[in-house]
Amino acid sequence: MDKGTWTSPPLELLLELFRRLDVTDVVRCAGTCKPWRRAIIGNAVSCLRPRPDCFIPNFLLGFFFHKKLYGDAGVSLLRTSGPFVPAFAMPTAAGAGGEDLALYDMPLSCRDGLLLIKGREVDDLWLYNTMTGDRKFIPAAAFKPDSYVLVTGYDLPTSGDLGVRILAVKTEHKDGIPVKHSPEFMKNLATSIFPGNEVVCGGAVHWLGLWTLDPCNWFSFPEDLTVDEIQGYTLAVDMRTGRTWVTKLPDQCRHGYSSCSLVLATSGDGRLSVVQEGRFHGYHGSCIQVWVLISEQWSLQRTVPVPAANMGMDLWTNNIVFCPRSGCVLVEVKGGDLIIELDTGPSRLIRYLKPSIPWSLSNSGYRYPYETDWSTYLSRMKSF
Amino acid sequence: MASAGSGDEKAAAAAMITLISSDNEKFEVTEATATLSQTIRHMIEDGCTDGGVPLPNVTSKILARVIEYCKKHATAAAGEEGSSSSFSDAAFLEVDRAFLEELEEFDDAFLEVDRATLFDLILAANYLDIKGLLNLTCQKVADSVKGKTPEQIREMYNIVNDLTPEEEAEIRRETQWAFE
Repeated sequence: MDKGTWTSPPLELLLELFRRLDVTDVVRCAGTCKPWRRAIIGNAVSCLRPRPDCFIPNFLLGFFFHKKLYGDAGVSLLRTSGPFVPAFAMPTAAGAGGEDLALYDMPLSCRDGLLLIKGREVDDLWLYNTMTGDRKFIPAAAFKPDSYVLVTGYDLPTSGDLGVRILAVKTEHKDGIPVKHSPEFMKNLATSIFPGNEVVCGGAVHWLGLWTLDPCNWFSFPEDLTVDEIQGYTLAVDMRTGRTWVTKLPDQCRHGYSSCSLVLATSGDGRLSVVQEGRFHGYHGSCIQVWVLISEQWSLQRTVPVPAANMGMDLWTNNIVFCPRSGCVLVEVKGGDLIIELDTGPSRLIRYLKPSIPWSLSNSGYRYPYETDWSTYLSRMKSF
Repeated sequence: MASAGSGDEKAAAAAMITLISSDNEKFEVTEATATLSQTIRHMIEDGCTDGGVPLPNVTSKILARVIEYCKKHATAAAGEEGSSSSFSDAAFLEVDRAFLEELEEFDDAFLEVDRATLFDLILAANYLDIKGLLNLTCQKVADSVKGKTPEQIREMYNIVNDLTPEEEAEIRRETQWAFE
């Protein structure tokens, strides 16, 4: 074969190749030669949505939250003071200025640089691209959803799909326990649908659920129930096919009344994971434990002691926020918020965010992670 | 659909198209085989296939392979239409599954070519606009790139490294995580 044939095939064919690669391979291809590098940098935003296969802590730019202060409500952004890793080219967002956000009422979902926000009027939804500043009006769901979930092209198995899907979800209540109706309906399985209780993984959305034989004891004495009587599950819906299924959580992941000490997550290479916060045998003070589903078996990946160990449990709000692209979790502790990298070993305190948001001032309490998207990152690599 | 289809298929089977490679070799194929190529399909629709379809971008060696692929997949497409009209009879589903497996084996064997041929097949699939073949061949290249270093990718596909050592070092610094 002639030297350099593969250096300069038609651009559309190069893009056909890059569309089929995960992010690490795309970045490596961008290091082979100038034509490939230019093809990637120049076309990333318009046509590449590579599947993320690793965490980049620097992708975490901050958190959106709903602030309610003295009768004045609005969307606020708390920036993280990154970058966490030096010598790392990091795109800064074009939009997402504080003044713009004040026009809106409430964040509903945030993923890959896209922010779904509720405006001041009824049924007023906007999809805001924080990287470009573009915004688009979205009709609100015909029903009142408990949660909106953004699913992007990066989440779908076939890359090259640029579409964004917005899922509006509502639980129906039956005998006082929220139950998700689905073809794989499971008796006594309660799924709690609220922002942050889901994770997008392998083209499906998983919600945290709890199955219990004994709903009465579940409320009062969950610790007294055995694994045969109480068990954590995820309920998943495939975004492409609509298929639903349940996945059993590790027996060790016990959650009682509120289920807030657990949060669903993914591993860097996209496996379903669960992060549990609490006190564990053999560890002094509070820890988070990270479990990953590998070949249908749950495996404990690591236990990360949480600094500021003088905290009493009552000072925890049990509010863990998983940040899907940076691979961090935000944990609220006394005097601030703690960001912990899930993938990089024990006790990696990154930074206290100050000021923290007092629970009473943030109406919904949930912080929506604000992260760079991969295409923007690729488009801003240095061109030669 | 089914009853009308069988008549049309017979008519289509009778219609032959002549494809002419860049080195002037002639290939007679059925219309069903030829129309897997959107490019040729449009030519047929426009009625400009009399006297053969010249394909100046495709050599006889590559065209022969492309036709081999199209013949197999045209049969598969016809088979699928046949089974869908038989209301998903269990026996037919079994036949379908066997046929799909056979098709997969065919595709795997089809891709056992050197990289130069693979590249030419991609160019031909793109030029002739054969979605299935383009997908198959591009996926093969993508699979071969997965997990490789830039050096390995260059070596595999004879890519000239036009980056200076300084530029390479800068790329590594910028995206160190991808090279660990």
